[in-house]
Amino acid sequence: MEKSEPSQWLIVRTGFLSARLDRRVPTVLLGLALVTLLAIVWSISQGDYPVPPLDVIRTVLGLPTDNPNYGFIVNTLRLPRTLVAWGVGMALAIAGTLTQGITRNPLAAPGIIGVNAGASLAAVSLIVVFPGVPIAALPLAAFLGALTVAVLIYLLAWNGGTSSVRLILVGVGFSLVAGALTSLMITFGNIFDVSQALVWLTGSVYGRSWAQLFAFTPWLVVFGTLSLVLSRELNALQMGDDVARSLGSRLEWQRGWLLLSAVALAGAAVSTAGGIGFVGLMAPHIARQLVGPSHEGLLPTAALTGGMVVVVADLLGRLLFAPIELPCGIITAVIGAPYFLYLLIRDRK
Amino acid sequence: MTDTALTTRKLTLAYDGNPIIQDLDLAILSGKITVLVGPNGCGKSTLLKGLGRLLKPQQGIVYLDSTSIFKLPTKKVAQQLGLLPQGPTAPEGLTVRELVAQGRYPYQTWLQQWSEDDEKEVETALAITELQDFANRPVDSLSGGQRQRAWIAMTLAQKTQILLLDEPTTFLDLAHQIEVLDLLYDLNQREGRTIVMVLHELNQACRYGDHLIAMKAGQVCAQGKPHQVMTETLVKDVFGLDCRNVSDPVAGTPLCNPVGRKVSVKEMV
Repeated sequence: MEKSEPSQWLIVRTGFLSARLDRRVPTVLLGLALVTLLAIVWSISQGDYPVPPLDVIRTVLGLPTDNPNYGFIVNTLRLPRTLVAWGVGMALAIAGTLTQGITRNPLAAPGIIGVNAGASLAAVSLIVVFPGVPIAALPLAAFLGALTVAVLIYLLAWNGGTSSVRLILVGVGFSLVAGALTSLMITFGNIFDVSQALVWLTGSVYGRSWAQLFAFTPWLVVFGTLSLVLSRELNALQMGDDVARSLGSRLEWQRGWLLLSAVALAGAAVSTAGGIGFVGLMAPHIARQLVGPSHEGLLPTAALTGGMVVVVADLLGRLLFAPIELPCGIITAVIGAPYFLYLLIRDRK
Repeated sequence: MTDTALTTRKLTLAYDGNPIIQDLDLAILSGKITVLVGPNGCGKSTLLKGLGRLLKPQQGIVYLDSTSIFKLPTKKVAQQLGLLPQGPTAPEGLTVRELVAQGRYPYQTWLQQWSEDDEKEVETALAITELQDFANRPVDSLSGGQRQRAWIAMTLAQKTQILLLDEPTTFLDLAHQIEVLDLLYDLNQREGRTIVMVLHELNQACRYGDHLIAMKAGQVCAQGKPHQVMTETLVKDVFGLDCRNVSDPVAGTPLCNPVGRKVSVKEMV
């Protein structure tokens, strides 16, 4: 009798609790976290006023350094910016993983199907029409914009079956319409508000402060956790509607919650750092290569991958043509657009 | 003691408001293999989906053990009734063991995500379908026959008394078709499981079915034992095809030989 191959899972079992996880997950998460940490420290140390990496760590931990200016440069100027990059990357990656899972479509990232454009439009409208609103209101506006597009896409493209091409074409259509309306807003807006909106629209973490980080974090924590809690449901959903339903999944509910989480995360990310493209598309694919398609492991892996990508993109944007600074959204687009084409070609086979 | 596993009362099933099946009364016998046959588009798959509560009836009721199937919690139903739809696709990179483990979903809670029972049933299902050696391979790297077995294994891990299968033999070569049918026959014989499946091959339907249901345009034309149902008149009536039936030299069940245009009936006489 042949023995079956050793299990690919780590299994945890105590009396009232049991779970399994792909064997590769802990190592991969640790690796991603380490690389991200290094990139964050390096990123903070770079700039017009370089700070040695060790002093970066000392300053963040509140230990004394030789230079009294480090505190301001590290903690006030650079740390919140880098943390925003990290958080936004995670949010976009989780949103992408969720949308790809729910639609069973490897190309369905919020940026591709127009959800991000909807969020941008709502946020720009808010900046231009009500210049005085507090920063904390931006995520909410972006969320509503994203939700509107998501609902429209659901009604127009999805209900008649999840055809890949249809979903993407309708999504691209929405992106263009939302983009055009955003341009209209900018044309008619007050010049000062518009310049503020423009910097932000390119997808940049330039000048992000603790206030923006604090407005954004609750969204990431609440909906990131909700996504993790629902990861098992996502595993059932990605088997297809019929299989999921016959396994006893209450899929309309699950899909609703998951879609809400995706939209909230994408909206919050876009309202904080603008449209950083292709992260939501790439991160889930990279993560799937690393730990396989089970969402208990895939979601955190994709999140850390996305966080790492945006932190590194921001770092590259500042290093490549220094002292000129490229927005990190341009870096992710330069890497992401060919990746998207590659996926598109591969998907046709 | 009931001897029907599933019963329908005045069942009307519709897609987008267009009724496919109307006012159907049907009983699925417990512990038997029931085969649905009929031409393309006659409503076999729709009926199967209706029986498996994947399609909400426009009117009428499906009873599972004398309770309306939509009144039961859907996970409880999934512990008694498994359904394998036609041509399912697994997410890219999913391994066979992960696919089969998905069949344990109805037994899992948020705290109990992978109990010892889950593990045992998955390994059993892999063993029954002889897939242990492929357990860690991605489903999309398997041959058609292995892939179909993996999906059947997932349905088996669900450990349900009733199995509904929509064309479990499509895309398989003859040897693999027989392999899958034998597997289902064994499950029925050894464990008394109720099996309902849609088959296109009439001779296989006759050989493996205890009970045949012939459908045309959403209606049941005939049902009963294979030799009662599979007559030359019925094939002409349901499929619009002339045929000559003989007794299957291996099994003794009806063997249907279509006439077609190439040979005329006179030559045969």
